[in-house]
This record gives sequence, C-alpha cells and structure tokens, in this order.
Amino acid sequence: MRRVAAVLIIVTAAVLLLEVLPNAVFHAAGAPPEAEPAEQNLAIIVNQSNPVDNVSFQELRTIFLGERSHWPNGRRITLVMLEPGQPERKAILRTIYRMTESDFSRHFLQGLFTGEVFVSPKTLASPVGVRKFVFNVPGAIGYVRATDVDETVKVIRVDGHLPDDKDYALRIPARPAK
Amino acid sequence: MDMSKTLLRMRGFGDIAFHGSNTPGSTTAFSLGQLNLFVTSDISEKFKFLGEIVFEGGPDNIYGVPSGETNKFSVDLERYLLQYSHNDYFNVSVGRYHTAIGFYNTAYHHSTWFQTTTGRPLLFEFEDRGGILPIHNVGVSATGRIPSGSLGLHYIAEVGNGRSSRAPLDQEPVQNEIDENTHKAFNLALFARPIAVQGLQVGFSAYRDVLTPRASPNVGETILAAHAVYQLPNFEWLNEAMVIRHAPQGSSRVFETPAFYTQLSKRFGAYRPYFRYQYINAASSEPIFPDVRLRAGPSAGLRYDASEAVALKLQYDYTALRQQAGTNSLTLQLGFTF
Repeated sequence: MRRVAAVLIIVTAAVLLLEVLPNAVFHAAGAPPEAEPAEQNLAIIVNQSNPVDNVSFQELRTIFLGERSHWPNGRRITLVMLEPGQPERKAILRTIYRMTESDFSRHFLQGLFTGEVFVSPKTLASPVGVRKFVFNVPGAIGYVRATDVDETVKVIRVDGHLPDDKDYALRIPARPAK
Repeated sequence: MDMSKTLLRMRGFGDIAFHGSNTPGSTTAFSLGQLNLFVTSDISEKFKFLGEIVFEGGPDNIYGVPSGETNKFSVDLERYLLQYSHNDYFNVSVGRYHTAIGFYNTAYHHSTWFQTTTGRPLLFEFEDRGGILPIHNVGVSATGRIPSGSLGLHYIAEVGNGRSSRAPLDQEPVQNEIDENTHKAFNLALFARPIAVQGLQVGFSAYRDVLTPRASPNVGETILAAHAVYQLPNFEWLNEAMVIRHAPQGSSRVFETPAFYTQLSKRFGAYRPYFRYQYINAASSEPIFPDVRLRAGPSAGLRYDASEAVALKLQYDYTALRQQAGTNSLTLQLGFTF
C-alpha cells in the first residue's frame, strides 16, 4: 500500500504540473486570444422577450455545454447551432467549447445518456434560419455574425461587451470578398 | 400533444470482445457484450422519458432470455426514468436509475463505447456481475444546482428500494416491486465543478440502507464515497475512494471494506493509452460479500478510435487475490454506437 500511495503522490504532482495548472491559468484568463488577420464579430442572439441582457463568458459556456437548462424567467433554453463546416460554428467550437466536431457530438451524446443534458441542440443550415428560429422560440439562443443581425432578435452582451466593443471575446475570420 | 410527430429517439450501443485469462476454469472466447437500446422522448417542455433496454448474455450462453427469477425482466430495463425539469435547481426523476454513489456510476452507464477502458472498475461492476455496490435503484431522484457562484455546487438526493442482500448471487439484486424489507435506501451526493478549472469535479456521497439476508439478522449498510476527477476531451484522470460499512444488528462487530481506483489516460490523435489501478479489500468473514476478499492490481491498455462511432481497445489486467495466485487477462474489444 505504501508503494501504491507513493506512486499516486508522484502521479498527482505530475498531473497538477503538466495538465491541471496550465489549464486553470488559461481559463482564469478568460477566452483564448485568437489573433486573426481580418476578423468579424460573432453576436450571441436570443429572443426579444428574453429578459437577459448580459452573460459572463463562463455562463455562456455552461449554457452552450447544456449544463444550464433554464433561463431566469423559467423558459427552457433551446440551443441552436449552425451545421458542421460553417465558419461561425467552427468559431464557436474553438472559442466557447474548445472542442473538435467529434468531441462536441460525443459531449452531447454523453450528456443525453447521463440525463444531465435535457435537450440536444437544434441544428440549422443558415444564419437566416438561426435568426428565424430564435425569433419564434422564446427560450432560444444562437449565434450569427454581427453583420447578419437584424431587429427580429436581441443581441446579448458577453462579459459586458457588445460585438462592436474592443474587448469582445467572440471573433470569426471575415467572409472572403466576392 | 402533436400526434403526427415521432417523439421517440433511439440510439444503440454494443460491443464484441475476444478475451482470455489464466483464471482456473476459464477459456479463451469471443463474447457479445451488452446490446443497449437507449431511448429518449421529449414528452413536453418539462417532461422527458429516458430508458436503457439492454440485451445481455451470461455465462449460461443465454442471450436476452429470462431466468424466471423474482425481480428479473426477460430483457433488462437498466434505466427507466420519467424526468421532470422544473428549473436548474430542481429536477426530479422517478423510476429505475443509476445510484449517485461516487462519479463513475452516473457518468457511465451501459455502454463500453463511452468508457475509455474495456469495462467498469471492479468497484462499480454491475450487481448481476458480482458487483458490490447498489449500482441500480428503483425510486425517486432529485438533482440540481446549488447557488454557489464560481464553485459550481450540485446536489443529488435519492430514495429507493435499495438492493437485495446479494445472497444468493443468482437472484436479481435490484429490487423492483418486491423489497426484502420496508426500509428504504437513502443517498445524498454533493459535488462541485469549479468554473476556474474546466473539467474538474470533486464530490462525496453518503448512502444508507438496511439489508435482510436470508436466515441471518438484518445488516445496516453505509457507503461513504469521495471522488476527484479531471476530464477534458484529450485527458482524463479519475480518482474515487470509498468505504462500505456493514453492521449486523445485534452484533458489536462492524465490517469495513475500503476500495479505490485511479485511472489516467491521454489522447494522441486517434490513440488513447490508459492505465488504471484498483483495490478492494473485504474481510473473509464479510457478511454480505464473503466471496470478494482482496482484489487489487493494475490494468493497462490502448484505445483506438477507428471512427467517430467505433473504438477498438486492447487491455491487459493483473488482479492480485488473497491467498491465491494472481490472475492475468487480456481483452480485445470492439465498442460502437449506432
């Protein structure tokens, strides 16, 4: 037992040093800086009736991970994602989830399997579809480029910042010029 | 309710293995693992159904056919839950669930594909495979967040029939409809997921029941468990420890069985090497599981994800036993979801 305990202590020290601490420092600092040459901002949109105006980046993460299932007004949260391959979705996977596409699928499958995730995300093909869905579903939350936002949906602040603010966390490479 | 919509969604999980060991009497063989049909249905905004219908073979080579014993279904309904989600702070489930003892039992259910290794730790082995914990329970479970800011506290409170006293082993231990006594099993678990360290979860649970073995006095059962796990897509480190305490009524003797496991793995592309060490040490005179005694040893293996839905695993296990030669085993397993 002593040898086992000694091995466990060594493994604990190694894991703390190599895996846990760098990750903790990384997350304490907030979203990873993503320096892209030409960028646009990604707006987080909710239904106009949603009373929430601002969420922290970490709250946003728990919502997108399915760890929160209800808004403060009691409405069930319905997450809407764009289809795999879309640049907006890639940006969300990179900045909020910090997962690959297969990690994302597995995360929600496991969440449904354990019962922790009540409803899996809705997937739509286009930003217009996302906007329409959010307009029609009171508990919906989704994302589109800030340039794709219109008055039918409400943009919420992330850590107190709107997409046009300098310190806004969610950015995406600009659309290539036509 | 819109009757034109299909409410039912189904996902399947299965595995096939090739296994050999030097355990006396065992032979090298192919085996079909559990075939799991995982069913969910969004009944309404607040209600949901969740079920696991599992076809399972056993040492008698019978696959999905009833043994005809008390409390046993012809096909195992491993989970059967009606869930009500009121808000983030209160969710309640009624039916048959996996008891929230420790971490593994609520994180992994009847699918080897989700698990890094070929099987569950000995500590969390299913009851009908000789497991020592009340893995399943029929009753009510309430879960939710506790307002705690960045600490991320959650609770789970459960009350159910508990398990039967494990003797004889050929009986279905999960008590549905018939409970061997009127005492209910209670379990309370608390865990934290601190926001500052993504992937970290620490928690503990306390479980209490009274068992009624045949031809012997009732036995009070208390299970205290603690866990600290750190899980990211590319890395995992699971640690759980517990003490199972059995106190026969009318006797001053108390039997305490300590157990733990630690599991470490890291992903390199499609490959994931892993290591696990596990330990259970029960007294030879333990009143509920006298057959368990000492079981300890390492497991090492490699998981290869051939696709998003198919994983091939090769695992070596060594298990030390009390006053017997240790056993070596090798398992090649193909786990998949469909």
